[in-house]
Amino acid sequence: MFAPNFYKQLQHLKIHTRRVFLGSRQGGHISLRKGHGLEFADYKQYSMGDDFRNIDWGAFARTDRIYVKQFREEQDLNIQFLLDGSGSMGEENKFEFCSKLALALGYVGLTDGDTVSFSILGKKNSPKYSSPKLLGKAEKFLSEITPSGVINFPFEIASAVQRLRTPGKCFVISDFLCDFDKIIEGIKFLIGRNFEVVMFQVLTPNEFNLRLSSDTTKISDAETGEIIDVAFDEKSKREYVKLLAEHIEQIEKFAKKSGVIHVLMSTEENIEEVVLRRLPGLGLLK
Amino acid sequence: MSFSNLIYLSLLLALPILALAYRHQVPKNLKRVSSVLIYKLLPLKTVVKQKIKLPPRFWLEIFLLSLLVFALLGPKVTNLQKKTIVLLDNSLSMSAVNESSKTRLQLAKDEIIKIAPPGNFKLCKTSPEFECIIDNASQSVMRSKFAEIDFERAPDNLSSALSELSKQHGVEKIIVATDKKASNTSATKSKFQVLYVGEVQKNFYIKDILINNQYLDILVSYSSSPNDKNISTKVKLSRLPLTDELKNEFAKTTANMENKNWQEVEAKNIQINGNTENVARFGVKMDNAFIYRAEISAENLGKPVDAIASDNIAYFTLASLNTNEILVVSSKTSNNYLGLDGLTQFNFKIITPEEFKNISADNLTKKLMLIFHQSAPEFATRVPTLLILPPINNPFFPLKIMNKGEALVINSPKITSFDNLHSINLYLNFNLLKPKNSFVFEKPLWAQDIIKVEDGTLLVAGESNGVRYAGVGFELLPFGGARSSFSSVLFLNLLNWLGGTQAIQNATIGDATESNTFEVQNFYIPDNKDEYPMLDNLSDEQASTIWQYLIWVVLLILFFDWFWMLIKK
Repeated sequence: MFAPNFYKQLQHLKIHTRRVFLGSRQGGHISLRKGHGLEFADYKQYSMGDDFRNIDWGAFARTDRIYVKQFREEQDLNIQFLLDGSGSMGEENKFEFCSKLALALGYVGLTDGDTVSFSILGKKNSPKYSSPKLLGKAEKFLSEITPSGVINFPFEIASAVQRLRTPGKCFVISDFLCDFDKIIEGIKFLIGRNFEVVMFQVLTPNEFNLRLSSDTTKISDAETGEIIDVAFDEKSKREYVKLLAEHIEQIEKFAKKSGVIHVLMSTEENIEEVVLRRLPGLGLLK
Repeated sequence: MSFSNLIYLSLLLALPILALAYRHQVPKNLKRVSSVLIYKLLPLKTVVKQKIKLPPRFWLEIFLLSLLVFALLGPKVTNLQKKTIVLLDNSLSMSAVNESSKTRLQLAKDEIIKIAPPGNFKLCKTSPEFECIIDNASQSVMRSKFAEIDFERAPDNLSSALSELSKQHGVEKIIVATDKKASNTSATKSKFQVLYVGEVQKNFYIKDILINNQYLDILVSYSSSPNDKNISTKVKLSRLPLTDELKNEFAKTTANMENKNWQEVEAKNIQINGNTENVARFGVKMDNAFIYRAEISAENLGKPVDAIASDNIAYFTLASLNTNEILVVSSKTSNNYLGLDGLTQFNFKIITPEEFKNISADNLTKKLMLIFHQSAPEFATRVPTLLILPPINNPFFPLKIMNKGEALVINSPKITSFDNLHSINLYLNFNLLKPKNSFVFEKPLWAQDIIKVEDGTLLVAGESNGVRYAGVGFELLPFGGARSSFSSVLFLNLLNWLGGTQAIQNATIGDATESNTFEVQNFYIPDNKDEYPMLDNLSDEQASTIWQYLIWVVLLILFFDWFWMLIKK
């Protein structure tokens, strides 16, 4: 799917999390679990069974008490990609762009020893992938998806996350062109489940600037099939851009308030550019 | 600008229909978007305000359709290069010499030069046949051509010439120089300027020569005032053996005939009153081996009493004379059926249509007239012809047809109008006309409606190139006399009218205008130039043929437009 050189560059990246999560196996992320590791976490009084090697003999000399050093264990990160599988994502290769983005980030996670899984909202969930060698399977899984239909955004998010026992990093990739309240409901559910949420809002250039020809007299909703009469003039086009900006701003405000990262991108953007430059710039990748 | 076929204006109704069809057919430009969420939030007014935007093809089709309608309407354009038509009557009567010692023809030529407007000219003459000598020529050319026009020993074809000329377009005016009453018989609007030359003069002449089995009749006429005293006239008949050489000479000219050694056969004296005619009957059996000369002379008859001296002598052979035979072509050859045996004053010969086909054109011209009963000739004849219940596609008066291509049959037609001034309608009581199963005619331009019914023309008659034709859409035969008064009177009127022109055509002399019409003819007197009788104006607009090409071009473009649309689909 990508150029070999791009894969090599991805191998040098790491998905950054602001919070520490529990992992299920050894990995590259500092875990909440104390145990073997490099990063000092705390002291505790020696108790039966503790490893002698961790006794801090200096502290014993000063305090005449035996303390044992505790370290943070490095574990894998549970990375979840939630891709919008509704009909709206089928417009103008939007889903293809989102798939590529998810796969690139998934590859970054997999090379870092993280556990990656994909959920297509309204469609199906992939198994958990834990090796970069499984990227091909992930790619096949995503390529089989044809976005269609209407989804209940919060419900589908809840269904997708329900199966996950441990929280982690969650990338929600969608156009978010649905009712704002439903977006909030879905994202809040993820936050409530202790996920660190990143929202990728992907729109097409036509959606950004209303590049529909002025002789368009009817438009139909890709999801519901609803048809409405329209007549575009310059004024209504400006009005559209303004309303879309307001919608995006609402999402951004909510994201900021909720500690969620919201990234707006266009399908026109180059995936490599996004992953290698833009996302590291935002602190999502290191 | 005027239009020939205003009926096509109704095609403009197609324009709103086309617009509606396009409005209905133009697919709403439907676009699929990810979500109508934002669009729904757009202010309502911008959604509602929809402009009707029709594709350029629609405007092209509207333009082409308008162009097609315009072309079908047949616009008439004014011909900017107008010309003057000069019609010179050069019949024998124009040889009459007036007191100024000029012939009428010379007077006409002089006066035309004086009154002719600047510009181009078309010069035509009436005798021996209507003919135009030059077209679009300058006045100087016309003047030079005048010298070539001399009077002919032939009758004029004035009415048919006027009828022909009235169909011309782009004409400034038509100057007619004649010594007779010129009237515009056709329903056109030609702008005529009639220049009457010479005064009415008394003339003494041989009007006609008729033969039958036993007799030779020489009809002598004296055109003068009815009050003139009787004149004693000597009619002398002479002859010469007809050699081949003489036969050839006679066919070409009679100029040197007077110098021959004529042998007198018989001479008769007759009395003629003023403005009447009389017959000198000779009990001579005509022989093909001779050429004959008839001469009339009267005492004390000179200028201006006898204006034309040359019409006092006639040369003729048996072959050159016409018989007074009326050829009746009918499938019902029984005289009893047709009832024509009762009309003893006419010489009817009844033949079948098959027999008619075997008669040569030369033989036909010797007939007084032709009557076609429920039949018609294949081609137009040059003999006065009466068609009774003719087939649809006869060469004179096509019948009105129904949608199925059959002739329109009317069971009991109602008369809407009739020409009560026409001699065909003389003495007729139209209340008595109750025809059944009648046909109606499509009137040609050169003919007149004599009797009209609701659906068309029941009786049509007209003169074309000096020959009279009539068509009757109901049954006139058998001739029943008093038992069927209307049809009998009408039949006789038709024979009279059709035969009238023949009598004139057969005359070998000029016919000076009769004096009793002197008052109404409004003669032009050269010294008193204030009397130019004007007839109706002819529209100087003319339908151009370019529109026919335009129609084809537009249809071609529309076809390509349709073809392109088909490919595009």
